[in-house]
Parts: sequence; C-alpha cells; structure tokens
Amino acid sequence: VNSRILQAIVAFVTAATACGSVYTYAQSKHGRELTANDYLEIYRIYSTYNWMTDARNGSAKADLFTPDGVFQVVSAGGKIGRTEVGHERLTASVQRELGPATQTTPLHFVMNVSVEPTPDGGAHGGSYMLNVKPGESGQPATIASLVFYEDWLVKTPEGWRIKLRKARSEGGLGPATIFPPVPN
Amino acid sequence: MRNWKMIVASAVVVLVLVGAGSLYAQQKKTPKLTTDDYSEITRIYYRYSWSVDSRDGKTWASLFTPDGVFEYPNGNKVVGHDALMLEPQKALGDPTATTAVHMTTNIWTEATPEGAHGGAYLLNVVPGGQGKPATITAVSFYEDWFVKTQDGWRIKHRLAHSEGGRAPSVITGTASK
Repeated sequence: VNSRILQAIVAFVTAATACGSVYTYAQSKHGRELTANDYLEIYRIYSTYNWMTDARNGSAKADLFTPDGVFQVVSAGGKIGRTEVGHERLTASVQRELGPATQTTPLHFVMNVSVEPTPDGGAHGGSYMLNVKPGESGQPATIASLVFYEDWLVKTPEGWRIKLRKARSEGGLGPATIFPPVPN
Repeated sequence: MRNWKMIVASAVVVLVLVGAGSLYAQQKKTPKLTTDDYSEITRIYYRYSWSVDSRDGKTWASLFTPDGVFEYPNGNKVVGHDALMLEPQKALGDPTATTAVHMTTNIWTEATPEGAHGGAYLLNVVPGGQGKPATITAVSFYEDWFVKTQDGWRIKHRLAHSEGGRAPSVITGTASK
C-alpha cells in the first residue's frame, strides 16, 4: 500500500512539474501581460514625446528614453540613417534637427498606439505619426509626412522608458513591417 | 388576532413588492466599465487599424466575436470569422508604399446592459511617397457594439459611417429625426 501511495505521489509531482513548466514556457514565450496601468503609462510616453518635441524641450524628450536609449531614422528602403544614442545626443538632436518652433513648423500627431508584451518583460510596438504643417494666414494645414514609430520599451525602476525608437518611412508598408501578418 | 394576520399579510406583500422592484432595478442597471475594460477596448481600436493595414486578416477577425459583423455604409455586411478573415485582403488588395492607412482617434465608449457601445473617428491617409505630402482621402466613423466574452472584449457589430460632420450626432443619438 505504501508503495502505491509513493507511486501516486511521484506521479502527481511529475504531472504538476510538467504543467508548471508548460505554463512557464507559455508565459516566457508570450511575455507577461501588461496591466491597464502599464498601457496608460506607455500611452503617456507617446503623447509627451510629441509635446516635448514640438516644444523643443530636448531634455524632457530624452528623459523618455533609457540613459542608453537610441533614436534611429529608417528610410523607405529600410536603410538606417541618422542615429542618436544616449541622453546627451538625444537632448541636443531636437533643436539641431528641427530648429526653433514657429507658427508654421510641423507638429507631431500620434495615433494607433499599439504595444504587445515581450518575453523579457518589456514591450514592442509602435504608432502612426502625422507631421502636420499649420497653414499660413488662413491657408489649410497640410500633412508634411506620414511616419511609423517602431519602439522597444523597458520597465525601469523609474517607470517605462524607450530603449529603441525607429522612425520608419515605408508608407503603406509600415504596419506590416512592424507587426507582420499572422499566417492563416 | 385578525389585526395581526392583516399586519403580517401586509408586511409580506410590501416585502415582495420591494424585492421585485429591487430585482427589476438590478436587471435594468447597466454595469460600469472598469479601467481594465476601457484599456482593452482601446487596444481593440488600435489593433484593428494595424491589422487591416498589414492585411493581417487572422488578427483582424480575432477582434470580432465568431459571429461578428462588419457593416459598410452602403449596408453590405461581412458576417462571421471566416468571411471577416478574408475581408482586408479582398477589399483592399496588397499594401504598397502608397496605399491608404487607417488612423483612429477620439475613441468613445459607454457601458450598455449587453456590453458596450461606442465609436471612433477615422482618417484615411494616403502616404505621399517620394517627398510628396500625404493626403487625407476620407473622414469616416466607426460605430461599435462590444461584448465581453470568455476571451475578453470583442466587437459584435461594427458599422462604418460616412455622414461626415453629422456622424457624431447620429452615433451618440442626438441627431434630429
């Protein structure tokens, strides 16, 4: 009888371990779920980024990145262009690249912010961005460009930060490049 | 003795009426949506745009209930998972550098006894390509009915509106008859 009980215990422990492993594997493969608070904080990063860029507040914009954060421009053919690495360069790049803000300098409008958890506890995703140029003296505004941001975010002790942002210009091909379609 | 019987009978009647009233009020009452609910519904709107623009029919259809409906402004309907899965590619063809993308904003949702009702504004933007400015080719509106399933919130019915500036009052129910 004791041997049967022992066998049952061993079988139970084995099954429980197997279930646990499968669960852990599934968790690590898909990444931990993000909470509503995570999403809210990440949405705020996307909005603050635009405000600080358009206000030419380079330091506040750079604060949205990790200290070693990277901003990279990717052109239509997928070619990597200007790359800014680290807080100091990210701070300086805003004023250097965009110049002083005027009544007709383009503004950043972000929509469709979509992020998914990654296995390392971070998040990957992006947004659509319209560069809108206000019209001069009663003229209508125009869309100067359409860009897609692709981002890798990490949760630091200070909150969510951008580890890498790629500004992509593939036009209508941007969404499939960032979130490839799931095969049927 | 008779008075006592009358008092007890009256009390029972009053209790039954109060109970029935309370039950009716409970059934009529619309449950509130939580922060988690709003967060999940917001993500559906954004995921919808990404998946339609990447022609990812599988992800797009998964945002609907298995019997979900997408209804065009002209009344044409796409019904059920299998048909929905094929729709992005069928309706829009392959994406290219200059095909239009869907930009969603002003997401608005309210709880209903069955789930949630709401909508969003949509800009159809055609990328300019080769340095040309992008253009807005259409302003549309989505009106949606959501239900909370075992797998999370899903679209039960999405109706695309094209009434221009009148659409918000049509969707929110303030349009004059």
